[in-house]
Amino acid sequence: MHELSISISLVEQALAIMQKEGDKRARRMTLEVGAFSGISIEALHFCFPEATKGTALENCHLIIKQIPLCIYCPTCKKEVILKDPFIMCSHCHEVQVEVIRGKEFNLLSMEVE
Amino acid sequence: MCEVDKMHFKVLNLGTRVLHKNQDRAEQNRTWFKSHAVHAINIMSSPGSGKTSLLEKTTQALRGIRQVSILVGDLQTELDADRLKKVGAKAKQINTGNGCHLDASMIAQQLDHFVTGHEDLLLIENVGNLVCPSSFDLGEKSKVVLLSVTEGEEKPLKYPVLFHQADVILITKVDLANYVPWNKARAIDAIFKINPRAKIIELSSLTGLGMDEWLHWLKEA
Ligand SMILES: Nc1nc2c(ncn2[C@@H]2O[C@H](COP(=O)(O)OP(=O)(O)O)[C@@H](O)[C@H]2O)c(=O)[nH]1
Ligand SMILES: [Mg+2]
Ligand SMILES: [Zn+2]
Repeated sequence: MHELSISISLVEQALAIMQKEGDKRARRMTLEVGAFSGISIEALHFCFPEATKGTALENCHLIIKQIPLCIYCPTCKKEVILKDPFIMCSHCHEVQVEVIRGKEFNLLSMEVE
Repeated sequence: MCEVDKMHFKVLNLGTRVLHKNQDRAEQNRTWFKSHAVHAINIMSSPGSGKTSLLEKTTQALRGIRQVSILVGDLQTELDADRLKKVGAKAKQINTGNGCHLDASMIAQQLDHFVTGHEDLLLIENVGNLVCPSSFDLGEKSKVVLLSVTEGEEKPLKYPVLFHQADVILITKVDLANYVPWNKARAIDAIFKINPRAKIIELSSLTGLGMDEWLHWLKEA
């Protein structure tokens, strides 16, 4: 499970940012996680509090915005949101499609003091 | 209370990639590989799909023909590197401890040291795992994912993120295909759903079937 090592590196990043800003405490952190990012949101929620223990991020509330997998189908000439992680157009079954969203794993914002 | 809170807390809008450190390092590795004309290949699969066996056979086949170095990721042991050295490979184990994947900095540490830059090929056996390695670019040019016939045809559907990234998918242990419930058409169909662009090679390290096609791909890629 790589969500623990990812959580630790996330906390390190956040601490560095807070240090630069001169903040002592973080109340809320918002992430965006794509359905096709390979990151398990459940595991992240489980590991993040562990990684914050004893740091300025302890008790920081983690908010995760899920981004669905979205492809562009050149046959239908439109964006299609996919329920299953099968990289093909759910309308016309075209497979030569482009993944345009769903791979994100970003730190969007933090509320600090 | 809330008012006070609002006054004290400020919102930092960041929009940074969480794994940017690894990504930056991977890009540096990629640049290094390019400038040294080393083709780096990240080889991934479940534990036991046949990565080390394939690397043993590949080492033997390329001896005297191409300069190859091999890095092997494993949690604890040196066993795989020892197996590879036994067949004459220039191999080094990277112990990841608790880490379930290799990352770009582990590879970076080897550049200009174990990996000299004189290689034609750098083969990297990742830690046996179909989840974690998918989030960590190493700076490789190609990704190879193994799927052994004993694992069943559904694996690509269960681990789509990793299979989607593969340039090549090797169906391994095909010598066992007649002894296990393996339906090739279903496997190909599953792969196609996740990754229609991948090159598929059926292979047996035991009998050597498919090795020519694999070696040919290594030469051309
Ligand atoms: N029958 C058969 N067994 C294989 C083949 N390749 C590997 N194995 C066996 O599968 C087991 C795991 O192989 P190994 O190369 O260590 O897998 P790794 O964990 O992916 O490195 C070993 O017992 C191998 O002997 C093959 O092509 N055919
Ligand atoms: Mg191995
Ligand atoms: Zn379509």
